[in-house]
Amino acid sequence: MTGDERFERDLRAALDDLAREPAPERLVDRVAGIPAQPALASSYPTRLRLAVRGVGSGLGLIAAGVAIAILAVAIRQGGGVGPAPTGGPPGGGAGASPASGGSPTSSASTVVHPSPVPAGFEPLSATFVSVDDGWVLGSAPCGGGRCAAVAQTADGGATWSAVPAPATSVGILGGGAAANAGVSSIRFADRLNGWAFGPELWATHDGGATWRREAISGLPAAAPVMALETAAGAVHAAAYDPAHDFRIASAAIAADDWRLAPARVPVGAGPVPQIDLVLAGRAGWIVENDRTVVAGARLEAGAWRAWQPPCLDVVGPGVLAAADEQTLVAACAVGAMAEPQGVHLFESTDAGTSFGETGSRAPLDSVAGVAFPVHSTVVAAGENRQGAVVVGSFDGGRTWRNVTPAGRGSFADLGFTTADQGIVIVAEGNGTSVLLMTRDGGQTWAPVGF
Amino acid sequence: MIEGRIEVARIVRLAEDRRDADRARAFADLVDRRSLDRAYRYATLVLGSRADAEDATHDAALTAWRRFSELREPDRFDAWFGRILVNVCRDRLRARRRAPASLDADPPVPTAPAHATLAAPDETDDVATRDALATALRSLSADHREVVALRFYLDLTVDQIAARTGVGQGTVKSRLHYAIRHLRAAWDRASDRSPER
Repeated sequence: MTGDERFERDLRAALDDLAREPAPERLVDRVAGIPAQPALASSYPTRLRLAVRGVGSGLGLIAAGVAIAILAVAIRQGGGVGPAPTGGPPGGGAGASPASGGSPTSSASTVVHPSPVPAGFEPLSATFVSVDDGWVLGSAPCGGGRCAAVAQTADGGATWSAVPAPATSVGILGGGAAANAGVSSIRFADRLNGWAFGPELWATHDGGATWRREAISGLPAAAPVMALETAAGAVHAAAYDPAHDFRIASAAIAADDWRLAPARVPVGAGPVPQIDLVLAGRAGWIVENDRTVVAGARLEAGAWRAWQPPCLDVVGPGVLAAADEQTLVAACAVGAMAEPQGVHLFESTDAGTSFGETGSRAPLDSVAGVAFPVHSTVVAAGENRQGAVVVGSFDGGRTWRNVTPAGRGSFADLGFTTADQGIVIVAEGNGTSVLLMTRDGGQTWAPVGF
Repeated sequence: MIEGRIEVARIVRLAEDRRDADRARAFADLVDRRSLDRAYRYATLVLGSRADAEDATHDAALTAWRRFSELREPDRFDAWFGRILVNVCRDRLRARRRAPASLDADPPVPTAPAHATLAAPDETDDVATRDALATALRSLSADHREVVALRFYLDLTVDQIAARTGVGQGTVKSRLHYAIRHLRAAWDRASDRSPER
């Protein structure tokens, strides 16, 4: 064999190897859906961005952002999205009737008479303010379509009841102007003050008995709220501005006095700008991913400022989780243009000023979300060759194992309320989704029934 | 009269529905697993990112669906879809250059995978040279990487590459010449360091 022939053989072999991966099943599914998809692609994400926030046990607030695309599909497969019945959840009957009564956190709270969670309820997003008190935003069948519905628990998820949902549709981000409405995520700061968002923004200050549509002064009315978290008496939201960057607005939890921060978070060149907002006490971080980490902002001394996020050089997306105001981890999917590929963990102990790689690679090919409930425990949700899976490390990232079975679908949520209690929502890709809870620090996860 | 109009409208709608269904079936037959694999792999080589490759392949398929009525000869689907894909990949590369992102202006091709997947232990010389080629591919310009992928991965002729990329044959030859010269130099350097074969 001549040198030229060997060169060509090696070149072809190198190309074959670089392109050895076949089209992922997700792409095959996406393309199969094209003939039924007349709407033009939206100029902003088709993904829902959901996260859990937690409070308690001296951990500060722990939030993990997870990006998913499948949930929007799941909702469509569920029979379309209809408007929510005004004033109450589907099938909830008189659930909206407020009555005075005793919230342990405020004498002004409102008690909503419990009613059963409607049959066919599919969870989309969850928030817990203590080990006992949590809310789940989901969808439920109504009038041939699906409506927004909210379930509430006061006993750590053992029992659930329906409470009023915002009078809007289940939010689907993207998919045409008509679909850019509704809410897809929920957060509560305490038993009174909560928000439903994505892309619309709604607030309640009576424990969910009534909801009111919010506007952020200085932003176009149609600017979708893509992320929202609450901590230390404040609520912070990231909204996608038509000027093609993200703006950050903050308010006191009970005041609705939204104010825009001067800092802007630019978007990248990819088709799916994705914002990840994480709070821990009075600290906060924002990472903008657009297939790769693009930009960031940090909350310091009460003000959001531009911040250089980790993983700018890995050519892949990154997600954050914080254990406290100083300690956070970034799980970054090192892209095909760098090596070694895979999901790497980077830790900061100086509030995000610097990061260093830690532990070993997580057994994932892509990462959707990460949680960092205590310094020794890191839980990440993503995909590997086995499918969608949650993996956990209980020795600071040195070793990993699957903590949920690998399956089909995507993760809609991941976060811990305490060192022991956490949740994740799995959208199974067939129109159904399931809320999993752990009560042993992420070692085992079990489905929650509504 | 009104009933008649309704009936005509219904028949037209049925015919349109049937046409839509036929079109969807034809599209599904052509944009099958094989063509998606081929498109995705090409996009991976050119864009250097599997995530971008996935989006580019999807966007190309979406464009193909929207322009499906322009495909006169189904036998020429591969070439037609290939042209769409080449343009989608170029658009993405241009968008990257405009964006204030962390990507290099000229994004590289993926690096070589773990050696074990490339060669058996007794083929370390092959591994070294292919690694060197992967690194050299990464440093090619997008235009050069495009012609290399079309020529040596999709096995297109210079004529076919010119048709697919919309540039002249002379330009294709020139790009191939400079790309191969760069790759060959890297390969030669690696070969010099490898044991004699």
